[in-house]
Amino acid sequence: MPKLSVWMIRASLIYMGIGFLFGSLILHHKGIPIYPWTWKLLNPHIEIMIFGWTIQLVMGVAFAILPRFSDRENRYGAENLTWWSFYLINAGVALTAIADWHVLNRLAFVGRLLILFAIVMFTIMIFPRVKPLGGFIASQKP
Amino acid sequence: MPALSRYFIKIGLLYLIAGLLMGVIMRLQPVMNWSGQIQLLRPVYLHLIFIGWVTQLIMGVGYWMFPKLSREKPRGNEHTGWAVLILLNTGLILRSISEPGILVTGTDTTLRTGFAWMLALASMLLLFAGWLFIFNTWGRIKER
Repeated sequence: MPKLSVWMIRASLIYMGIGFLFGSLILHHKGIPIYPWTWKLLNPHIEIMIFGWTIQLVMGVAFAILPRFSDRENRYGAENLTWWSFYLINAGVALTAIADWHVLNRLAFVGRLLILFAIVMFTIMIFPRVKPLGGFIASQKP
Repeated sequence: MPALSRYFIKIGLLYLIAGLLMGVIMRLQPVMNWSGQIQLLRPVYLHLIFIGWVTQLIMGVGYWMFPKLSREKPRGNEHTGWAVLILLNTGLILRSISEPGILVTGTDTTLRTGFAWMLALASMLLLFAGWLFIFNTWGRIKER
């Protein structure tokens, strides 16, 4: 597994742990109330579970398993772009979750924008890797 | 494919069907003029799909296909894997009963208290399931 996938999948697991904790507190609060502020965790919970956990995990796995290029120096494609994608999605999820907690709409907008940039960069990088195995010759077969 | 992965994925598929059936019933409610209380199923519906199906599918495929931990324990602690399956599904089923249950009990305090504790228990089971999965998977996420 490439280093970048390791970082993405581990980051997604951390978000999963936080997301499950928030969800568990909310669920417990529905039955046996804990703290008055528990409901404020709902939006950060949704943000973390969708973007921090699921989408980031898919990105990490896709980077590892989609067909690679034959050029040994550059077999995963534009790796720098994907590192930026990793930084941006994590910054974006953290910012949006914090902004949701404090109800800071402008900060939430910035966070969401960072996530958008992360996904655009990832798409640019991964697009050419969505191809038949075996390179150019295989792609010409019907 | 290991047995545990098969259980995760097959149970996940059943949750997907159950979740979508719930979605159909919720969409039918205004059309058929059924009780608006049916809409109280929404959080359960979302979690059947997101935890029951998506997360459980990821767990099943991850347990099967992530890099091996070691020659002796290729998939980590198998007992922990089974514990995750049992805790997650018990938590999800308890939640699916008690979450709408607590909202429709009305003035029956005994029943309401029962559902409230069931919900609290479900929250802890789901949390332990998630954290145990992370604990059991972490070491397998590595460079070859």
